[in-house]
Amino acid sequence: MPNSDEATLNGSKLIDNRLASVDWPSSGLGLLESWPASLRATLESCLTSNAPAVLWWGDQFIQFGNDAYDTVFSDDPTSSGFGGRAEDVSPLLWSIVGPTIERVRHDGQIAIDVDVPIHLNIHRSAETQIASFVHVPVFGADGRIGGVFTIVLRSEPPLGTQRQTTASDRTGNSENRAALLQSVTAKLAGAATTNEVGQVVVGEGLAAFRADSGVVALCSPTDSTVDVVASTGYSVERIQQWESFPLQSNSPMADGILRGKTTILRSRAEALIAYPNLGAEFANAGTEAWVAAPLAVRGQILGALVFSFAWPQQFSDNDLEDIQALASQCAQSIERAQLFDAERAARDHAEGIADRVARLQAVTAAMAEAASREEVAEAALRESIAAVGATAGGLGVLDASRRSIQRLAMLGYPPEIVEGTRNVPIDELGPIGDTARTGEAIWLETNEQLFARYPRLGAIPARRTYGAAISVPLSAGGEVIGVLSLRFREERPFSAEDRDLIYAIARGCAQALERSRLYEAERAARAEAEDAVRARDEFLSIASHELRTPIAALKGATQLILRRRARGDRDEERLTRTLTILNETADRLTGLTDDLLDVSRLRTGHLTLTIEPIDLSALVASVVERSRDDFEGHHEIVLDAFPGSLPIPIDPSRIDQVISNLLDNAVKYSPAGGRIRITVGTDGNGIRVSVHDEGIGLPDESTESIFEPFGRATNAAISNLPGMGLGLYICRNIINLHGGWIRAESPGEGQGTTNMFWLPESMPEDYA
Amino acid sequence: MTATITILIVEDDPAIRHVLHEALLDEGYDVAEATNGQEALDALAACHPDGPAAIVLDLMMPVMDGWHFRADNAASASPRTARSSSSPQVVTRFRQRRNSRPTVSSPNPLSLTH
Repeated sequence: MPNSDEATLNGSKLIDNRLASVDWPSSGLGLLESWPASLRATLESCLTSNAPAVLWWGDQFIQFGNDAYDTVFSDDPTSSGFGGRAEDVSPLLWSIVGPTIERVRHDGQIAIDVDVPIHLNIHRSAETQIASFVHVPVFGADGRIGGVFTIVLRSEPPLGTQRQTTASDRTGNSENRAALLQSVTAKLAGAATTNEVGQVVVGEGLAAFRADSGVVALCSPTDSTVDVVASTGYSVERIQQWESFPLQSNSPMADGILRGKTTILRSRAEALIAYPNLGAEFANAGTEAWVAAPLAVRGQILGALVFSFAWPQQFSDNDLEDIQALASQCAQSIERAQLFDAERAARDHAEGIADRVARLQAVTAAMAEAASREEVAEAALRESIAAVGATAGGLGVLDASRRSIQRLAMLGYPPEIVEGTRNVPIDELGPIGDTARTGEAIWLETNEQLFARYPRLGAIPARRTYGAAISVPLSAGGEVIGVLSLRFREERPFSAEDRDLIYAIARGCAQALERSRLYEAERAARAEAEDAVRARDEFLSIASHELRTPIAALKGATQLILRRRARGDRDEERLTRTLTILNETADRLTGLTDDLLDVSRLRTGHLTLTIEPIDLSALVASVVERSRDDFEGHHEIVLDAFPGSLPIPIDPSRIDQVISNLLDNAVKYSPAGGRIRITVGTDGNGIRVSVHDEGIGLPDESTESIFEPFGRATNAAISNLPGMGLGLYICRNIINLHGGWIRAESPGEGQGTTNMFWLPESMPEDYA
Repeated sequence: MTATITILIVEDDPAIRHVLHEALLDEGYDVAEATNGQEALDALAACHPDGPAAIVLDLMMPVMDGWHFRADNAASASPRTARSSSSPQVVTRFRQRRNSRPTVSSPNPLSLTH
C-alpha cells in the first residue's frame, strides 16, 4: 500500500485506512498518487470536517463522504460507498441531489438544495431525514471543474448526535418510569379540575421526555371538537389558533383520538408525508417530531396527550410505553376530574337554585306583607334590587287608558330622574316604553348597547352614570300590567340564571300587584255594596214615610165616612169631598207603587218597550192638557210646541210617563207657583223636549245625582219636599232604552230647573 | 159643646189635612189650617186673641218643619200667645216612638196610625 506522505492525507488513520481500502485505478480516478492537487486538498478538507460533507469527483461523480456524513446517511460507515460512483452507492440521495450537483459541475455556480426530505434505511427502521445541501464547485489547476463539494446542513444539533437521543436517554428504564409515574401520581392527587390534571401531566411529561412543548386536549362531548385544557411551550398565537379545532381535521392529535393509538412522527418529513395538509403549520412550528397518545379510560377516548420536539426524534419501545402509561394515568385523572367538575357544576346549580329560591322567598315575603299597590310595588322593587345587585330601579303599572306607565315605586334614583319619569308614555322611545308596548324584556348589558338602541338617553348626562339596564314586563292574565326596570352602576352581562331570577321576581311581583288590585277591587265592591245597603235603608225610610202618608189618609178618610154613617150624617157634599180625597190618595199610592215596580223591573232587566210610531208633538200636548186640569189655578203651563207633527218610534205610555214625571217635578219643586214652559222641537237626528220651571233649582252637585236611584237634590231633601227619588231614575232608563238622553240644567238654587230629553228619529238596532 | 174651641192643623199633605179637618169639625171644634210651620206662625198671629186650644203639628214639612215651628213658637214673644190663659197643647202627628200615641182627648179617637 502506498506509504509516502504524498500518498496520505493529513487525516486520521481511519481516513488513511479508508483511502487504502479502495482500488482506485478501477474506480476511474487512477492511482492515488496521480490525483490532482485540487482533489487531494478538497478531499482532505472534506474528510477532516466535523460537519457532514461529501465530495463528488470526476465525470463519474465518485463519492467521498466523511464520517459525519456516514453517520447521518449510512447504516454502515465501512461500506458507505466510499470511492464508488454516486448513482451506484447512493441511488436514493443521488436521485434527489444528483441533478443539482450535475448542474453545479457544469455551470460552476454554487447551488443549494433546501429542506430535502430524505428517507433512508437507518438503524433497522425507516427514517426520514430533512437536510439542506450546499453544493460548491471544485476547480482544478487547469481551471476546469473537477468535482463538487457538498456540505450537509442541519448541523445544529449535529444530525449525528441527535439521533442518539433515544429511549435510554429519556426515562431510560422501568425504574425511571416508575419514578415518573409516582411523581405524576403524587401531583395529580392535588389536581381537582381537568385543567389542573392537564397542567400536571404536561409539565411532568415535558421534563421526563425532554420535549419542547406539550398539550392535553379533550374531546368535547357535544360539538365534535377537540379543546385544549393545558399546554406548555407554545407561542400565544399557536395556543389561540389551536385552542379548539374540529375532531375530523387531519392532524396527529385528531388521528390519535380517532384511531385510539399512539401516533408517532419522528421527523418533519414523516409528518409531511402523513399530513401534507399541515405543511405550513409544521414549517412555522419549529417542531421536528411529535408523539400523540390517546387518553383512553375503560374503552373510552377522552382526548389526547401530545408532546412535540424541536428536533427529529427516535422513539424507543420504552418511550412509547412511558408515554402511554402517562396518558393512561392522565385519562383516569381526567375522568375523575370531569366527574368532579360535573358534580361541582351540579352543586353550584343546586346552590344557585337554593340561593334564587331564598331570594324569591324574600321577595314574596316582602310582597305578602304589603297591602296596597304602592306597598307591594315598593317591596317588590326593593327586593328585586337586592336580589340582583342593582343600583336603582322603578316599578310602574299601566294606567287605565294603557297609554302610560305610572310609577308606583322608584328607588335609588336622584330626584331629577324620579321627578322626570313618574309617568312614562308607552310610546316613549326607551326601555320602559318598549317593554310596555311589546311585552318583551330588554337586557342592555353595556351603555354601548343602551345608547345604540336609544340615542336620546345618551344625551341625558344623569343616564350616563349607569351601566347595564333591564326592563322586564309584569304580566297578568296574558296582558302586560306594568314594567319593572333596574339599573346597574357597572356594565355587566346577564346570565341565563340572572334572567331566570329576574323573570321569576317579575312573575311574583305581577301576581302580588294583581292580588292587591283584586283586593282593592273587592274592597271597592264591598264599599259599593255597603253604599247600596245604606241607600236601600235610606230608601226604606223615605218610602215608609212616603207610603205611610197616603195610607194614613186612606184609613182616616175611610173612618170618617164610617163614623158619619154611624151618626146618620147624610151630608152628601162632605161625603163627595172625602171620597174625592180618597180617590186621589189611592191614585197617589198607585203612582208610588208603580214607581217601585218600575225600579224592580229595571233592576231585573224586565222593563221593556212597546214601540210604535207616534206624533210626539201630539203626545206632549195631551199630557200638558191633562196636567193643566190637575194644576189649574196654582201653576201656569205653557206649551211651546213644534207646529207640525213629529212622528217618532217610541213606547207612548212610557214617554207619557216621562213627560208627566217632568211636569209633576216642575210643579212640585216650584212650590211658590209660577210658569212652567214646555218646548218641543227637532234637534239633530231627533226630537228634544224641555220642561222649564221657575222653582227651587238645583245645586251643582245634584244635576247628575237626581238621576241616581233614590237620588234627590240636596235642597229638595232638606226642604222635606216629598218624593222617593225614583222618578228621574226611571225616566233616564226609559229614555236610554229608546237610545236617547236626558239631563237637568239649572243656573243654581232658587233659579229654576230645565229638564230635557232627546229621542232619536230612528230607534237603536235592538228595537229596529 | 160650645163652638169656641179652635184647633190649628199644621200639615202639608192635603189628604191628611182634609181628614183631620173633617174629623175635628165632626167633634165640634173650630179648625184653622196651615200647610207648614211658617204659615202656622202667621196663623197664630191672626188668630183669636186666646189662640188655638191645641195644635196638630206635622213635623216633616217644606218651608218650615214642625221642629222649627215649635222652637220659634216657644221663643216667640207674641203678646197674644203670652196672654192666653193656657198654652195650647201641641199634638204631633209624627210618631216619635213606636208606642207613643197622639194624645187627642176624644171618647172615640180617630186613628191615623196603624
